Amino acid sequence: MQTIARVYFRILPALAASCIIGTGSPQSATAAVSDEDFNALKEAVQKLTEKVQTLEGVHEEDQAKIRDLQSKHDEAPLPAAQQVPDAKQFVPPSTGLEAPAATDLGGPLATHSFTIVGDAEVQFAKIAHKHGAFAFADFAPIFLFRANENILFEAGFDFVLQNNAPGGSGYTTTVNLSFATIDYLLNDYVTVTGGNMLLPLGTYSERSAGWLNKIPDNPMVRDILPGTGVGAQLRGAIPVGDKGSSVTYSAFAVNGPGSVDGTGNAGQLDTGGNVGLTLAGDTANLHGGMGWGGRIAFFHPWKAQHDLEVGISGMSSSWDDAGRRQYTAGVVDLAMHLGPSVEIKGEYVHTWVETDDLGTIKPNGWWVQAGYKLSGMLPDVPYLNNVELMGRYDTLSDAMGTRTNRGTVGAVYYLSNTLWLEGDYEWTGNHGPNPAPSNSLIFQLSYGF
Amino acid sequence: MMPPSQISTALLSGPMQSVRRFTVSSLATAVITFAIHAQAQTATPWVAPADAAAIRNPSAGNTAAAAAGKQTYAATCAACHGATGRGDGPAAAALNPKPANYTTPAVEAESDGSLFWKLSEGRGAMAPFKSALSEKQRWELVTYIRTLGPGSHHAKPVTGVPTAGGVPGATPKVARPTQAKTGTAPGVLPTALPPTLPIGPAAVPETAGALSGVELWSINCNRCHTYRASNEYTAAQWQNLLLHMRVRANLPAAQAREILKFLQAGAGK
Repeated sequence: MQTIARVYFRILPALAASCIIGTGSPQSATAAVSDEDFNALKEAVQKLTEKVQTLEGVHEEDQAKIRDLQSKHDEAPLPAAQQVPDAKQFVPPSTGLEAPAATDLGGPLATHSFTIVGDAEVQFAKIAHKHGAFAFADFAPIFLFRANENILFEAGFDFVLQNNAPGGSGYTTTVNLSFATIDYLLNDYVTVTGGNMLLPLGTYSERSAGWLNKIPDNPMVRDILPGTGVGAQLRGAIPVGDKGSSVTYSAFAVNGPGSVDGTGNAGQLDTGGNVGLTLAGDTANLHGGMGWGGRIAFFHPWKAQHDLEVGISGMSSSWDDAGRRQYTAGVVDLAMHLGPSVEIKGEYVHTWVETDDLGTIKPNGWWVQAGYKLSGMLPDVPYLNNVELMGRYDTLSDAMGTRTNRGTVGAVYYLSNTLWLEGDYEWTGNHGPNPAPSNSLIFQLSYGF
Repeated sequence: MMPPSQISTALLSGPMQSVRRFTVSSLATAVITFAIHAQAQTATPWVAPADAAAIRNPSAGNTAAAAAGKQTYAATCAACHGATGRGDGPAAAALNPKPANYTTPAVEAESDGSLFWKLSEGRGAMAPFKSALSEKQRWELVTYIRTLGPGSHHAKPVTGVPTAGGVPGATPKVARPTQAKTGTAPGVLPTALPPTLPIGPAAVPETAGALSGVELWSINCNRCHTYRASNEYTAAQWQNLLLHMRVRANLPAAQAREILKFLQAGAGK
């Protein structure tokens, strides 16, 4: 551009001077310009014009080359050494320290990215024989930090505001670290995970709890399974065929469940998990035995919106402080979609818990849940086509004489794909000395983001 | 299970005053909810610019184009608009406004250019497909959508292409997935989508096996949660989310990559 400008700056004064000379000179002067001079000037102007055109052509070619090089530069991955500044240049020479070369880092370089997702709920409950009230407000953000294509850190928190116990004053805000894991995706088939993990016992903890569940509360039988554990896990999926089917697996080692009070006299399993740390700062595990387990499942979509997933999972661990008593759990889970409107899922859970006084007891139970979207039947009926009817039946035996059965009917009203209102009525039947909560009516507004 | 009479008894077991208060508060909540929702459902009319609406469909009336559009429709649109175009796909229940019902007179009255513009540009939960689908694919899609309404007289057989086994008036043969994949059934235009997943020429060229990203999205993502429109998150956010899903839901890596490509094509800014 500068070259062209220079040429123009040279031509324009000449042309201007010519005009001035031409217009300012008396008519008699016209006769003084010979044809030879005029032709010479004309030739000079023509040459300059040609030169300008040539330069413009060169300029256009240069611009095209620049654009081409720029696009190639943008598309081509930079060598690692160029992506990360050479660490050596930041080391003061006087220290004598040898900074590692950038190429020594190995693996894909980090391009940190951060996203928050999660959910929030507010619940209103009316339990039989008690007044109705807003039960709690819950905010459960999930923080996702991605270093690159292979490294992800994810942490889920649960902030819950609840009243204190009846007769007590005030309220309590609890904050739980629902999970916090570092995931290293070793290759397409193996992911290594470490931290506080949601345990793959069935799919409920990982893929159905909270806002993902369309019924406000959990199936009762989930209470006899640990929800999380601190440890490490290998997991992944292997595609089967080319129609979307896959075999998935998870294998984990965790500290496992503990006892309720940690005194060594506990007779009650604490499925909240034994994270291996005591309040006294003792870093020892409460018991010496590690918990092991895993899940294997098969997912098969046989046609559009028709699919089936069947899984089997389990774990085994010591659970008392002395590490003498064993806890074992087995879960069979199933989830299926029969068309765009019908969803069915459920789990069967069986556990074996060794005790001092009762021998091995076998708490067990199951749940099955179905949903039907009215849009499948009434696609054009306003409001009704936003409704999904829900039903669930769940049962739990504590293996100490109490069996509880519960039926739930309700509906989800979708205000949008991120906000919906759930309303359910639950009726409970108890047999035995330890009755579960009574019938209740629950409304929940859920927001998933 | 408890009989219904006992349920009623349980519901009314508290003091009557509490019941009344509860009923009133519940009704008030419901009224407010529906009022808010009613406002949300009356969305601003979506009108294509006049110059876009005036553009003519280069594949109008072409049966082969409609058949190709059918495959793209099944892969790309059926999740929300439903297998038969009634706006009743599995994602529809959670979407407001509802996906368009292609069988209505209102849609039939729209020009091909208008439909082309809308599916290219998108709005709200409707993803923009100008990046995910080629211009030819989008016109084929419009041509197929024209066959869904009751007055589906737009697509006419292409000369020289056999129809319904060559028997006049016979029910057209449904293009099976394998036929569609190899493109050996051109011109065979089904009156309705086949009962099996019609996996045709991939909407997104590079596929994990035979399924495109949008098909895998349709199969996998609604298993646990409501569908999320591609423009709800940015391309970088989708990358984080798909990595999260790959770990959490044990999503095969190749499938996750295809789903990511589809979602990033229409990602928000």
